[in-house]
Amino acid sequence: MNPFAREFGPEPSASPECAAFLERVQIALDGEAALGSVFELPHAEECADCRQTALAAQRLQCSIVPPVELPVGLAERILERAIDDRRIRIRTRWFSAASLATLAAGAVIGTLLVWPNSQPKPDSSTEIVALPPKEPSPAIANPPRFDERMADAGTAIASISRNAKDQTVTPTRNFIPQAPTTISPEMPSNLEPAAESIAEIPQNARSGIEPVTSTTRRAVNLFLRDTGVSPATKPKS
Amino acid sequence: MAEDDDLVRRCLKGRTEAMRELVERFQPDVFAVCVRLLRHQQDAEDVAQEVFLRVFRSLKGWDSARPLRPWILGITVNRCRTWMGKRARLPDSVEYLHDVPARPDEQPADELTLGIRAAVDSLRDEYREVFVLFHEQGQCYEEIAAALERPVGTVKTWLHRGRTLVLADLRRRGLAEPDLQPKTPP
Repeated sequence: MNPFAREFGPEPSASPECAAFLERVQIALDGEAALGSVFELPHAEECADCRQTALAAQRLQCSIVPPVELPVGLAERILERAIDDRRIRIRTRWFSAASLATLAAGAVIGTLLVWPNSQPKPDSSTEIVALPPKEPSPAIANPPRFDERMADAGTAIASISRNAKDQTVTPTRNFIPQAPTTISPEMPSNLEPAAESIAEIPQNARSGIEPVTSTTRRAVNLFLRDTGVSPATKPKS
Repeated sequence: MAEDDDLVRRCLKGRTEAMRELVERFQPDVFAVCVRLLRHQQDAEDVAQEVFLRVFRSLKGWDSARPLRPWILGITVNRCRTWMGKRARLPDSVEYLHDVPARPDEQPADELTLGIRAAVDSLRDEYREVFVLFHEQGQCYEEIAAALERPVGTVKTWLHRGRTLVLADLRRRGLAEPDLQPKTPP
């Protein structure tokens, strides 16, 4: 099958000679061959239809395409419109960028303004009752300070502890042996005790002073604890 | 190609003289294609302006490896197609086309020219596009294929079919009489 028939399909009335002739006409119209050469083919004399087609092709090829006359001022109008369009596009681009920047700045400022005030809101279902206005109290006028209150509390606790210590230690002060605070080297090591031990008194007398001794022992312990001196050995009762 | 590249680069910089040079270089082809495809002078002028607007907007996307002329003609054909689509949707498009002469300012053409123009106008859009680009704009197959973004074989097929129809129309109009036959070369 020739290329012309492959492109256009076989015509019912076209013979292979006609198809080959018309292909030559197309090639000539493509500019790849001279159109006059098709009239030299024997088929041009044999087939009137193909000869007329070749004549029409020659008329088509030889016809001068009239140049299209340009409207007056078309280039100026095109240029003016193109420059305006370019200006508008540049302006739109800048406006878009400025709008975007403004929007971003507004979002940042809004975030900064709203963030510190973002506290939990009261429940809307709770009924809000308006309270009568109160007169300001003198305490509120001079609000207490925390450090002063803590110092007062510490002083009160210390005084209570001191009173308890005095009430405990003072009555039993006579039971504490009056020992010299400094021991001279020439003093004898085996000294006589200043008083007798409670364990050596009779049982009846001992039971009578038992509460006193217990209280005394407790007081001594408290005293030693307060003075920071811990006894080497616990006294045996 | 280098000349096109330089011209486009200057246009992208916004230089008015470069834009003017581009318009003056390509407006005859653009306007001629618009007139031949749209068959209306005023529409062709409007579309030609739109074509150059589109060209200036799309210059960044132009592939410098391709020639500029087929690219612009491709935009022209596409804009003409869009315009014809819009015009076809108008309710009074038929009266509109009949009322307005195609070329009001043009001198009356001879019978052969009128016959060829009528035959080309009766072609379907694809055939008319390639016929105008080839026979009236002098574009080769490769340039037409690049402009229409179609394979060369498709363009060739469309052109041959369009030619066959035009030649048949010329014969039917009696414009291929034997007495008009030129002398064959000796």
